[in-house]
Amino acid sequence: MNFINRLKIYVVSIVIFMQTACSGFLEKEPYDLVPEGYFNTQEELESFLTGTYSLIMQTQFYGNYYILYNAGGDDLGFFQRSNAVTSIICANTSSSDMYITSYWRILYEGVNRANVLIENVNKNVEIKADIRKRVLAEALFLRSFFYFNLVQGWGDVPLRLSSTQTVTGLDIARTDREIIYERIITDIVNAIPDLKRSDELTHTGMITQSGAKGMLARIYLFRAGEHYRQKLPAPETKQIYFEEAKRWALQVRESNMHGLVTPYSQVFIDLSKDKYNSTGIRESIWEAEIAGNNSIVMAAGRVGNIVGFGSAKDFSSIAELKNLNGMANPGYSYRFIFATLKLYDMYEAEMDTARGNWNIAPFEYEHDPLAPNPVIGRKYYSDKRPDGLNQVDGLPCTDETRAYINNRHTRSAAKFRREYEVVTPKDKNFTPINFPILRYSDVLLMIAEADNELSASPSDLAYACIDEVRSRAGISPLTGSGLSKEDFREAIKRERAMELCFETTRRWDLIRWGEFITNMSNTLTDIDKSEWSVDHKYASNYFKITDTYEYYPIPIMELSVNKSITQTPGW
Amino acid sequence: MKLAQMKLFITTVFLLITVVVMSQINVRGVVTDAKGEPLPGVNIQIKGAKSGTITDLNGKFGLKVDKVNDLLIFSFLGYQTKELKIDQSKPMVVILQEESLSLNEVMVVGYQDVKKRDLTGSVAKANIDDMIKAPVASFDQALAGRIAGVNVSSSEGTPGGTMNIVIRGNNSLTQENSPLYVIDGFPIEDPSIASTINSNDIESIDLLKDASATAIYGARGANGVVIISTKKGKVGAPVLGYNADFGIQRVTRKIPMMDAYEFVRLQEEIITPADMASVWGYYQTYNEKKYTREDYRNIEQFDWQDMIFQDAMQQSHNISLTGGTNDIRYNGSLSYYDQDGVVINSNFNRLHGRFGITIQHKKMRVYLATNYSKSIYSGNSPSQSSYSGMNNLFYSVWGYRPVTTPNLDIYSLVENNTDDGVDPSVDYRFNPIMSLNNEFNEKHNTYAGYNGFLEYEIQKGLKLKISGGYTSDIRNAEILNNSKTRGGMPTSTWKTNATFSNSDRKTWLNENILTYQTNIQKKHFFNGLLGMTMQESISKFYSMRTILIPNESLGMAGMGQGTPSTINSTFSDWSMISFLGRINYNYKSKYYLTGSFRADGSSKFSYQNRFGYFPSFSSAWNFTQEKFMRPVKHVLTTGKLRLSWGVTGNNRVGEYDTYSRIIIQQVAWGTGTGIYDVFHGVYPVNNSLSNIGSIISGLPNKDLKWETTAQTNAGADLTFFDDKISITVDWYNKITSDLLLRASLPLSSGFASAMKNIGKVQNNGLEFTINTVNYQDNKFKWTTNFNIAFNKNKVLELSENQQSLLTNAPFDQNFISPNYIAKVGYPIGMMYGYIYEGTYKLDEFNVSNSSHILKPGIPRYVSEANTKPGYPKYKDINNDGIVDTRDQTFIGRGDPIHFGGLTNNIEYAGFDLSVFFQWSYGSNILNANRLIFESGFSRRSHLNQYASYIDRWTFENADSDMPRVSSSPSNNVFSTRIVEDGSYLRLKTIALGYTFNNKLLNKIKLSKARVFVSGQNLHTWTKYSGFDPEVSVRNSALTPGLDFSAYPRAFSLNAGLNVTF
Repeated sequence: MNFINRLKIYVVSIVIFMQTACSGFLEKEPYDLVPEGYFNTQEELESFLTGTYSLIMQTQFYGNYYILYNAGGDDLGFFQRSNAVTSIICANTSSSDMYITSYWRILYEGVNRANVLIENVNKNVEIKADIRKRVLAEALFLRSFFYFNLVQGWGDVPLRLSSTQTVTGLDIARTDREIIYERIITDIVNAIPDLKRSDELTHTGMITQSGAKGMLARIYLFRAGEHYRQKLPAPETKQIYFEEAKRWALQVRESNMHGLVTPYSQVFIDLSKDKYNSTGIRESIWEAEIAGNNSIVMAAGRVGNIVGFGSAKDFSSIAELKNLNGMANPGYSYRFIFATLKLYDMYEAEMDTARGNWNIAPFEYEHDPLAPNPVIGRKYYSDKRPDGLNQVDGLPCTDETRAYINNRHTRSAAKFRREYEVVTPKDKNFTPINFPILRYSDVLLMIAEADNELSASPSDLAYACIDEVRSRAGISPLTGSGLSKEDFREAIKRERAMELCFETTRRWDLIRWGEFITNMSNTLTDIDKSEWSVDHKYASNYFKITDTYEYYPIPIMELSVNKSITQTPGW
Repeated sequence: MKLAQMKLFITTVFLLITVVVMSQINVRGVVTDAKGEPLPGVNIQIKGAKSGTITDLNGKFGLKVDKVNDLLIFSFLGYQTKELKIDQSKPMVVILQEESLSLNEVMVVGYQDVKKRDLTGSVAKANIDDMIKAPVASFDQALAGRIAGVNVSSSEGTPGGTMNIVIRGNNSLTQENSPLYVIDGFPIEDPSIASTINSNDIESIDLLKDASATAIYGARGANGVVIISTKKGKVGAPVLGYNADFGIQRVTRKIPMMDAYEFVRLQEEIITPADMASVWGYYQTYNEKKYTREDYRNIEQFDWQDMIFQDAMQQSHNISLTGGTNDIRYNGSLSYYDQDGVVINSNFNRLHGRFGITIQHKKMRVYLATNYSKSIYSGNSPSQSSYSGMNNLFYSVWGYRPVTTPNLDIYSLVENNTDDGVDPSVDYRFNPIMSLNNEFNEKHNTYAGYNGFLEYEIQKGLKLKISGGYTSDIRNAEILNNSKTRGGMPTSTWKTNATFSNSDRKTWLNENILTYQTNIQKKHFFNGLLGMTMQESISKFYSMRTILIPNESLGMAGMGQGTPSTINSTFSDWSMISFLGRINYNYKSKYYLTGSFRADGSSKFSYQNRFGYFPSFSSAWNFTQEKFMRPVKHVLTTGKLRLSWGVTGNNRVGEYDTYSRIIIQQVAWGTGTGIYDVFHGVYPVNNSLSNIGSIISGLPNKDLKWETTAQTNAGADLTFFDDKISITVDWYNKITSDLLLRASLPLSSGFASAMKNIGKVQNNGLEFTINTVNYQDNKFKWTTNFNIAFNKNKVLELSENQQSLLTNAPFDQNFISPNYIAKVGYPIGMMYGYIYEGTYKLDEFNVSNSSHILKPGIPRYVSEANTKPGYPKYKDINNDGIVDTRDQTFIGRGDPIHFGGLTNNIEYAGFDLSVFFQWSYGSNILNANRLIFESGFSRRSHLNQYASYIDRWTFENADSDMPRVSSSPSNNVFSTRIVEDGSYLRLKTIALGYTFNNKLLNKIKLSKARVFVSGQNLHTWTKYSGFDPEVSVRNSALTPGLDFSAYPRAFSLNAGLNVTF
């Protein structure tokens, strides 16, 4: 027994020695900051908020993939390459689509970053209350914004309202989208009073009261049209959704902080020029902030380079040209999206040159046939050269005379133009062009649309709103035209197409109107027309879709590890 | 037998009576071995009598005998039994000859040396003499096929590449499965350490395979342990040695590509007739000549493989010096190895020096050694870019077109960075010659180690050994991409850019070991050890990049003129404290018992999970020592049975995986697909580039704990016919639980992966080693070694009742669907995808309006609404009429069924010949190259294809089962179409040497001289269509056997000499 006792004492003392003497030696902490010691100052809160915003401008979102591959598949534009890329826009996707997968991933990364911030924002009550409130409001809005994008894309999705803490128990089922709608609407409504007003900011990169209200209107309208893709009859609450959409959009209008800029093109020139509402009229309400040329900080994007217009020749490697701006070096663009005949014809029918000649390239840059090829002028398609425009930046503007080229009406989408960039040297692939998430003209058209749905026939308010947009574009107002409710609805749809094409809203508009599949299929007849360039006939493959495409596929990467989630039928 | 027993009994009784009566004679003496070392514990018996004695610790004995004519029998395990007449006139000097050389081989096990016959665990010794005959850079490259159960392979043929050594199957799914290296007592986890050791310095390599052997390394022993002992000084006059060899290497094979004619014929199916006739087309009218397909027969054209492969030189030199007295002995060496790669502009060279000194002073022994190696690796990896496969070298080498269109000078292909005919927005093809010749990518690894020990004998049998070591591992990388390279071409974002990085890891170790040995009545032998070790490692990493460098002609020196870009700094550290003990017991060298225990504490785990406890037990029985085995002694010379069980661990996770971290992230990290990337925190509000936000870097797991492996081993060591044949057989069963796994998480958690303790894996298998001496006389000796190992691997459990774990081994952004699966009940690393059933044939379609409509009831690929004849057809496993992700299944196995080696050594009249075969049987290879180069990849124009694609489906060749040219998404999935048999038998090494005889050498004052020629990778028998079946460019337990743009393997022919002065 004595021996056993001694042994016990010996073993116990060894264990104590190990636990104490070694614990110091074995205590190794990372050389980084840890959350436990963070969120204690205003700077730290703002920094984490910046990190949460950051996701919207990255490659997987408005920086590149989303605006091209995911949201680009609509009836106004097509992928201008015969080599299809596995993606929504090429109508050949599957659950292993990397663009869809990374979009899903970045949205949930955003949800989690927002959740971390929401949980820690009040950690240090010494920080001024109004700052904590504003940061919380922005975080709540951003989380809701990420969820709205998830619901738009996938319908029912997993809903996480607290940050992920453990590596186990992460299986999560899809939550009914109505529950998510309720939640995100409540959160945004609660956030609005604590957000800054648009006139308090000198930029448009962060969410303001107007931005949040406009987004609420967008959410309500999409919710009102949800039943189409669910193959359900319109819900009784549909009218309430229109009322809410109208109410929130109207508040933006009644704030008297926003207006429309003339000419239309100035909005997009500002985006390229790194300016914010330079005319003083706050048309642009919320933008994804993108800057620089990626030479040092990775803050640039591909707007204008993949979707948009620039030179078909690249001057970024030519020393004497790369630091030039304007016509001399319009920047390189892949021009992956070309406008369909449908969009072209809409502008032609309304003689809408302000928007038509901005959104669809009216000219080609003309190059010196001797390499290296600087731009020597613009060659306009027939009837597209504005009267009296003979030169730009000292370079001549001439007319394209070849009939077969003039007859090809499938031309590059040109809403985002690299020519106006001011950042030098111009990079071949990366641009500083911000992406417009919400514009005032969209808000006006939402008021008009919602109001029309609530009325037996178009009201004065509805006419006023749509005409504000139309008159800025220089086309005839509809007031007094005596349209029926249905005609007015169609007018709104056309107006939205002409005003907002290539701004990633069209696909969702078509889905919420229940006409995505029909409109896509109808494009096939356009492709047979002689105005549709023979070189672009391959695009017919990109319009052959089934109603499966009303949703994105749940990524295989999620399905394979999340046992509780189910795939959307059809995928 | 009964009668015999009765006789024995009667005789014994009779003898007992006489002993009492007779007077006695004293006999004294000493028993030694052949070298004169006293042998304690030798059994001495008077023939025919029961009485006897045992020699003491000094080999001395004394006993009384009855008759002068008595015979004494001296027996001792491992030595030949001797019968001698007594000699009472003087102390007898008895020399016992060793019975079996192999059983007396000293095996180095953890913290101790043990004779093979005393081993209770499974430990194998590598035959250094054989291995050194292979003309390779480091020992690990010669290890494959040498030892049963040790699977050694390389991912590709890169010069200086690290070998993947897996002992008894993969335990861990996503973490390192490489063994622990213990170099002169210093444990190192990084497998790249192997290339810092000069093979000529190695005295012995011992591989600890079962848990009884490895458990003493506890926390880090689960993957087996490779113990490397370097040469120590030898007593005597200075001996100077010089070894040199020179060699030439060449690729073992090229992949046949389409020639110009076939290439143009293919373009007809990709490019519209209008475009073929246009200014970008092959059938244009140029210089008033209308070109046709026939014009491309026997036209001047390029074979790009010929242009990037070279006959590469290889040389090595080694100088060694050893000598000393009993008190001070020294050993030093200096070596240089230089190997050009078979791909231009790749090279590996290494300078290595070491010096060791042993000082013996009374009861104290001191050893000090220093070791330095500097390795330089040049050249980019051809396969390691995973965002876009197009950035990998062989995409451009194979894909670059052999001819241009008639209006372009064919030499413009070689002279320009890119091919004018290729759309750079969708195709990143880059002139591979231009890029290779201009890329500068050098990695300098400088490794310095200082270690030593002090051993003191406190009292007889009790020794204290204090050892310490310090290593410094500094790695610098310099990359310069100038304007003529893929990464710095004028159209790239960064233009000419340079990166410099420095990683610096310092590790120190202290070990304090007390050993004691004793015996009771010279029958019960005990030895044991107790110890405590501490180790700490601190790493620092810095990297910086500048871009837009104005003067690229300055090389790296001009880096400072560029615009500063990304700058990184990362620090990390870890520490371990361990306590260990072991007891060995044997009874008369017949029955053995061993028990060991180790407790390891690691800083990588949080407080409550910090310590892991690793016990082991083993036993052995030398059954041929038993009397009843005597009758078969002439056949079965020795025999031993072993049985062991033990637990080992694995802590190879990140230093801080238990912590959540806040980082200020400037750039996104990762492959760019956004799936496993860490997104950055930049949001340039108001165009402010400095608005960089903080983010949470990853999901921590506070509950992380040790991965543990419990292993049972049963083995036998047998020798027959006086050791002419020796056989070792082992059976083992390993179960690894709480696997440390970088597990994919549901992306909806906000994270793509996290470190988890997940599930269970089982490995069991059989290993055989047979060594035979086929013939031996004074002139001629022929020996053979054969080994084979079978390992069965099985997933027993995954996390949270998950049934399968899908993984994508990434190589290109267009192929991100899972291509590997680990499923409960099946081996890990199984390939995953569709079953290929050939192409859709014409009779499966109805024709209307000249378009083909698939007949009802024939399944189509899910996202391929308009299936056409010639498209790939996959098995609709669930018979739902649509081939979709639910129809994926196992399509291949990553791990071999068995592997091994066969060595024959022949010595005759000064000549020595060694012929070594190595094989691996039963694994598959996922040949991803064929997804791009045997598919008309997405109708990509001007992209050359493998010559095998000539047989593709066309309306003229409608029976073909090779898919037609199309951009169908069904072409871009993993299926049995690209899974190939990866079995191979390789004639790995032949070495023929001649040693000059001494008479001749004495005249020129040399003590030894040998000249040799040798060849490596001489021939490989395989069905595999790629460069080489030993390939795995994304090597991990989950993703073995993927081939994409792998560095080809070289065959080499060397000649050299060894001289000793």
